[in-house]
Amino acid sequence: MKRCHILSLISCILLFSFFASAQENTNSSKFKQLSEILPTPNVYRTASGAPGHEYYQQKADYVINVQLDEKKHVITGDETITYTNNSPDVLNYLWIQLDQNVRAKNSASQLTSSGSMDDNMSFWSLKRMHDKINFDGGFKLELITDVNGNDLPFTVNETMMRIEPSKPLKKGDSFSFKIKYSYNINDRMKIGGRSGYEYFEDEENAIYTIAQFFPRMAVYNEVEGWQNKQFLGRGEFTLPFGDYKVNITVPADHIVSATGELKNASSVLSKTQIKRWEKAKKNYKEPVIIVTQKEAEENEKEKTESLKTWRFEAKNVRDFGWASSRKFIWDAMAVDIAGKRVMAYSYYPKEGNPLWEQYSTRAVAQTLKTYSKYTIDYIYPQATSVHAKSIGMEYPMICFNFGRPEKDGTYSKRTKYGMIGVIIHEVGHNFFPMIINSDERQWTWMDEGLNTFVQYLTEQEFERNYPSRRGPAKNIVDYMKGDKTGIVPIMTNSESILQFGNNAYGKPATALNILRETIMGRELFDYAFKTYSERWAFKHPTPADFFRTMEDASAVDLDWFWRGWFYTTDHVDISLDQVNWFKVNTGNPEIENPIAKSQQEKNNTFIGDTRNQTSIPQTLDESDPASIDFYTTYDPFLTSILDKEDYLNNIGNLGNAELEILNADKNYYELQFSNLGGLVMPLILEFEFVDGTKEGLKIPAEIWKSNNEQVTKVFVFDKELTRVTLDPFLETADVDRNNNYWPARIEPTRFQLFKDRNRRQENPMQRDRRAKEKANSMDSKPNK
Amino acid sequence: MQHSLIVIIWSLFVSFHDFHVTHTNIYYNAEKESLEITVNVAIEDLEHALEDQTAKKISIGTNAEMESVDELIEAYFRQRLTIAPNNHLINYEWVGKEVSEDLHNLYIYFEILNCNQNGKIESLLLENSIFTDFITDQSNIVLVEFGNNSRNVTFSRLEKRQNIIL
Repeated sequence: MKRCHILSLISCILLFSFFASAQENTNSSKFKQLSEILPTPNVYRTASGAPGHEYYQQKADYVINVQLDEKKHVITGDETITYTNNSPDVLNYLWIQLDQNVRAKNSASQLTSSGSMDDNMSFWSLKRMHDKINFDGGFKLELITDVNGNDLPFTVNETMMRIEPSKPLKKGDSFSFKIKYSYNINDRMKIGGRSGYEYFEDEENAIYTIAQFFPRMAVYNEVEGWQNKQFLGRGEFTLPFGDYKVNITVPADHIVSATGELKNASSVLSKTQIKRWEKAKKNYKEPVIIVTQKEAEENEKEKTESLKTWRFEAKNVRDFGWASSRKFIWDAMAVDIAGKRVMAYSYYPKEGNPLWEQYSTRAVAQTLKTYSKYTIDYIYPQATSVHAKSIGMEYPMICFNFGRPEKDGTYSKRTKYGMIGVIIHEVGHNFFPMIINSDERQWTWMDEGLNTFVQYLTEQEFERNYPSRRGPAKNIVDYMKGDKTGIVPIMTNSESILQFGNNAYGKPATALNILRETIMGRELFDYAFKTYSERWAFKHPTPADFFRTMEDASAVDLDWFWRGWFYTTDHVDISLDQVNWFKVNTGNPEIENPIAKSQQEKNNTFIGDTRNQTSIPQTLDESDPASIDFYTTYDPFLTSILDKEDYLNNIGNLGNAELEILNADKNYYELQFSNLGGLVMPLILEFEFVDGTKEGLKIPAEIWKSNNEQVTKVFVFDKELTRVTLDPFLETADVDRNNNYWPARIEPTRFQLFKDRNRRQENPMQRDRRAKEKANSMDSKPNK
Repeated sequence: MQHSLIVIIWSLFVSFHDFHVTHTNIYYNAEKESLEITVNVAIEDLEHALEDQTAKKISIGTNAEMESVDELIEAYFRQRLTIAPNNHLINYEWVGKEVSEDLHNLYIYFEILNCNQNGKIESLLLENSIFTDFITDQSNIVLVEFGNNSRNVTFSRLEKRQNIIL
């Protein structure tokens, strides 16, 4: 404890240490505004983060006919694309995406993926390598013509194709053209892929989960021009909105599920199936089974040669996906979204049960409800979850999800929560990026990060304490404290991301969670996040639109947060370095002198002095009174009448306010913090006092605004402190908690916790049983 | 130069999750003069690795878990994660394993007791090839913590052996 005089005390309260933060002569403050990094606002995108008054987007409408050859695993198709130029620019050519070409022999994707051999490779990975190299993938283009059948000039560059319309497209012009094509479908189990088929060898059946099955328009806008960055396999898709009419011809005994609404139910479904479907449309409580497991098992036994065409239509979607198999069980349930009925569907083979029947459609329904609450009301007519081993992949209104029980019908907890989690995640993608249509090729985090964040909110509404993987701050600590050479900022192009899952899913989801729980608070965050969703629903947002909207709708300056969390690889490590305790010096000698005396007595004594106390029996002055003078007996801590008079005079000069401070007997604590990790964050403190009571306090991150490395802050309390904890509720992802305590405390590592827990050779149940036995035996002993 | 390629014949199932990273923490407990090793891996990948080796269906952290699975795991890591303080290879002892809170990962604990090394560990020679036999883009991150000296290193198919001077 220190006691300081009133004047110096006031300076204590005002004290901030101003360390020179950097030697450079430019502004390197962590609070420097982002305006130099973000693109300049314009008529298309405003400084508030909303679409500007001249915002436009292109439109691409499709009429597609495809046929599945299940013997050869081939898709053949023809499509008519009608492209409408809403931009102010004249377009001399159009770019079309040929995503299947990523699997073409010698594709850029294969050539640019850096491979290496392991001297101890598994047969599986060698085989996969061979299968990938040997697979004859890619679109085989037959015809590219205008609607009158005249050939159009085109150039294929890997996964992109440029075609030249007969005349340049001016603003408002539409241009229709046709493409006839086919491609070999990939066996997902052999060479992987976001779409393809899984083959069930023993019964010679397949489940087809089909996507990127038609040449698709690229996006043109004022941000990228044509977004024709090649598809290399990782950075996903960037697509314009449009209306789709898709006719899918498959073996007549297949069940087909797709984006949009089925328009010819009566010619592809049985009367019983239609009746059950109608029943499902009225059932908001639980799924109704339209094709039962028994029926599916019957159906998959034999194969028909005849074909059926399923007709689907979808409005205002950015893509189209479908699934087909004679193995499908199908269930359905109605979901009420803001008074409108949306259908939740699931399609799965017997191999998915019992898990899928119980959880898939329920997970779809919960996702639509929770996402609608935090973003916008889901307005598509349906949302579908299709069983697809080993992958999770999203398309508008339909997604393909893993989660397969063991052959005996049992399943692990991990399989169950993994499956529910992936369904929530992939159905959630309807909102990001299918509706809030960001550029996936450029920024993975804009859909994966935002989606993973709302996935976390949904999981927690699905089941209390759902074992969520990503969201809570503490889950990202291992990643953020890791080797910086193996980490890149969130603002990194999709293809160059290292540690994809942590970078593009985990960290942004955690960052948003921290904004919501700690920086902005739930109310401000939820409003701003919803505003972003509403502003950019059915449009093409960029990172700046998101950053700006979150600030604009909340009045919270988040530039420091975006800068630190999205543009750097810094981590959070704030250290509570020192706690100094001050009390006011009353100036009253009768109070202060005894305190000073006892302080001095508490001081450590030099060892020689202690020894001399006994080794010197008598000093000269003790034996010779003549050697004594005034100073021999002078006690500086004695209070004289003059000291008292001086004190009373001083007090007399003080005003009431000063006297009040003097008499309040407060405790002043000066806390010193340093920022070791680089990320500035709020200081969240918990104070514990001598009487055992606690008090919490949150100091906004702006405490670091003038000095990003070190700050000092004074707190005034009535009671004395016994403990201070920094970040007591694990909100900030602080990677080293050993410097978060006063008095210092070392947190046990995960290893030590585990070892302590498991030191006992008995498990908790055994120990409990033994404890009860002991208690019983003691009870039964007679009292003496 | 021609390398000989050892092919592991068995493979029972295919896994597909994109993100292939393991985390290992090697912590020097100065008080006990021991090395505390915590390895964090995706259960799915570990099951796959053990299935490749044993040609049996492996379940970890479920009711279907075999009794001998701890031994299989220990044997796997002894092959693919080695630690040599001051260039002397030392075998670590099995401490235990536990499933992460999110059920997705497994924490595996090993330790090296009495790791005094005549008073000072000056270097750690590490070899880490966890899962590199079947995952091309596997990254294995190791955090070494010796008091205030903490070091981060990343291993991959191309970089399986690194010597850390402390």
